[in-house]
Amino acid sequence: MSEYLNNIVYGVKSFLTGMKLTMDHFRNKKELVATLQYPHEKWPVPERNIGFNHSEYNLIRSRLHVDIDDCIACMQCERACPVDCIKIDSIKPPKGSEIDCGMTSNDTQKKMIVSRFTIDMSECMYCNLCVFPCPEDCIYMVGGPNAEKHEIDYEFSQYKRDGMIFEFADATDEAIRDAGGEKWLDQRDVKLAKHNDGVELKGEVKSVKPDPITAPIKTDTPISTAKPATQTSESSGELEIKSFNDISDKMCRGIAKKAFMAAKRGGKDAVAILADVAQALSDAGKMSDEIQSILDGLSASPSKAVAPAVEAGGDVKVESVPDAPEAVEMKEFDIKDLNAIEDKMARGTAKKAFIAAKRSGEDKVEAVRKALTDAGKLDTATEDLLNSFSGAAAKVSAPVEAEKLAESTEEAVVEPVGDLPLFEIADLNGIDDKMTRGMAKKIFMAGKRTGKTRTEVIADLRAGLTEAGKLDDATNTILNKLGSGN
Amino acid sequence: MEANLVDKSVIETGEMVLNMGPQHPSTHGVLRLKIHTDGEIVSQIEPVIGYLHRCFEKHCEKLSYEQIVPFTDRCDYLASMHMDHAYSIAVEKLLDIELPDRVEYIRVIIAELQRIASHLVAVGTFGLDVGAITPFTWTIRDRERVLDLFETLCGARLLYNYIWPGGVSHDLPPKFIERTLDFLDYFDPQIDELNNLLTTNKIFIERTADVGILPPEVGINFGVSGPSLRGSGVNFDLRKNEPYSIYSKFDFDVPVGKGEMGTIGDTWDRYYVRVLEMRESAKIIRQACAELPGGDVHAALPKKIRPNAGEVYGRYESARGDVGFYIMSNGKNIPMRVKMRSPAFCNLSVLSEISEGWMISDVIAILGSLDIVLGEIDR
Repeated sequence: MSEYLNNIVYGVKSFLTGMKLTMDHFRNKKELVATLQYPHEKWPVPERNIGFNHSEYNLIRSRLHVDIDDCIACMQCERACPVDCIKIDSIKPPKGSEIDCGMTSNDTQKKMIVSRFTIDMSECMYCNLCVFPCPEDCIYMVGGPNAEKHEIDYEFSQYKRDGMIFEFADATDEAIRDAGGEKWLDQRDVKLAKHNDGVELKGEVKSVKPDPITAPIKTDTPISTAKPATQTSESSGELEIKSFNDISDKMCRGIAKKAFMAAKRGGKDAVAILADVAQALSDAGKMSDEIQSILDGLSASPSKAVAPAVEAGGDVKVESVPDAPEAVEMKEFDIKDLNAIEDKMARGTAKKAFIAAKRSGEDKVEAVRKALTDAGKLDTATEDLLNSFSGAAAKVSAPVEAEKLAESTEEAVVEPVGDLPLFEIADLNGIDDKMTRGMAKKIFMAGKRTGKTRTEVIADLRAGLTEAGKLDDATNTILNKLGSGN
Repeated sequence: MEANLVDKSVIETGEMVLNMGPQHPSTHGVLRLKIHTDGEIVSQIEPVIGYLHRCFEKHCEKLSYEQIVPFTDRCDYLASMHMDHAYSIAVEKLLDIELPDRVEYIRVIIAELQRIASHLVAVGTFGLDVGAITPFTWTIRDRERVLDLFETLCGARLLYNYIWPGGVSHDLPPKFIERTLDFLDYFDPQIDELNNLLTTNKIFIERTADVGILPPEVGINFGVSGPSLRGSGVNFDLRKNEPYSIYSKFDFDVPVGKGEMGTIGDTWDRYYVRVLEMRESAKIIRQACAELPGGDVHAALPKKIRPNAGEVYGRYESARGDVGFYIMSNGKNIPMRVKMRSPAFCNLSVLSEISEGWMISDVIAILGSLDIVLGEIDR
């Protein structure tokens, strides 16, 4: 009997204890609540010293990133990967050739051209094993302690699986070909064709999509609109080897490309090159109406034609080089163009405004400009970008903008004349401190890639080094010397 | 006149087979149980495993010694550090390398933190299985704190790849010891709270005490190890009986089941051994933190692991029991054979034996008290 009663007393007591605890938590929910209001609150990123010492390096495992300028194609990361998600191809220039593959920021002479550096993040198991063997510290997981090298990039997501494949190599086809990578390019084209066939088999709508290998699916530094312009001006004439990619038959394409390269090496102009190509094709008995129309398209557009897109019907569309303002006006403003905005926040704001404007049917450029000005994020680079898209309509409706546009084009024309040519990266070797030298070289390469002038690059160097507290007297003298053109 | 309303010859009175899983919240993963029942009384259980099989052992024959570590992580995903540690101990034995003191201390601190995290899940889900939902949310909340510590340590929260053969991947981050001690100060009262809410709760005791008794001799015969065996009163802990790493330096007790609420070896005992072990782990961490020496954690890290031909067996007391790695080397940089002794696999094998004669609802409690992880069973 007493046992029976004891049981009841114990049961009630334990029940009340539990209830009391629950009530305690209910009352003190401010202190005891464990849930994180996720999008509004985030855990702080773990802290570590930022440095190049492996022991205190790389703590967040967010996404793999490669500083491709520093990569010497030693393949150690590829070998370390347990799931083979890293694929590297490199091409060694033949002995005795003059090709300079560049220097890394650790002052190692590169000996190869990295033609492919693909990381499939959908395969990656985030084990971090590839990071440790890298002799140049150029592959790392982004974010946190590496914030200086790359902005944090967790919560990255894609609509398509292809988006998880990151291509880091930025060697151009010309550079690969010059280094003797003809065979590699052919093999890649075959693979690419197979890949594209696969996409079509799945019943997806064929659209103009970026070539997954030649044009990176997602590069980390978004290609600014200025980049293609500089590239075309560098290559001889306006014809590019890519122009022939529209030829569907593989054999014909190969013949055309070979003839193109031969003519190009001979230093011929666009018309002569096209004539050569046509001759080579008809010699091989491969000339068809389709190819003729492509070639006509290439020759018909006066020096500006770069990449004619040939539709099934054979009519020719000409896309113009974005270096002439008249031509730019024709280009449609697309949300992808906003990717050129460097600042992440500004990019987000701009994209939001773009979509809102698209829905309501307003002028997209104006909407983006207004949103950015309101947010105080409108810098010169973004301004220029927007100006390049504000078309003829904007000129009429907003004369002020038109003025600005005229100004900016004027600047673009004037500056290179008044400024000295860009100095060489080797000129920075005078800097003693290794860290400073590395940083300076990085800034230099970034400037060079975006086509900045000597004065701009030197200003960048000054700003960057001062920010890092690395600008000492000796470095300053070197920069002064470079500025005066010695 | 007697009306024959039910034709007794039609009713099946024989054995019935009840299928449970593979998608079932109480099977702790993808485990399928074929339960043979007589009415509601269980007569036999056939566990069907292999849904998570990933060819771990075969896969190891393709990978270098360093590359295996991320895959050992994925075996027991609730106690990844233990798996890495066990594997590393075996490889170090094979290489015959001496580790710096700091590495050993760091490993012990991390392993005991991991034991706390793993037992918190075991205890919480056990409560969840028998119907107590609140303790589960509370234990998961505390486990989060351990995971946050691990995140600052190596950048990952679940699959760490932290303990490597020959060392650890990173040194401790600044303030890690302070944060760990802060966590322990916070954690001790939480155990009391858990005891008040769950351990001594009358309903919980009624569900678990005197249920699924595992006699010590049966446990030993079936190869049961870890807290599940200690719940039956067997004082066997590799950290004490066959000390590896530097466990012999620390002062701690091995809690065993005493049958406080029922018989020795019932599900409640197995549960309570885990609760007590968390306290012991906290005790070890405090001692290790106080004595932590300085030094370079990468000092003994081999540049390339290429052991001489030979074979080795490393034992380790993980959160689930006795983990063993049997590695055969033929002098190459990839192992010839890696065999893993999975404690959860052996623990699961005893399920049919101890569930016999209990009701279907008790099977849930018994399975929960064995604390299995399917990633390790199937591996």
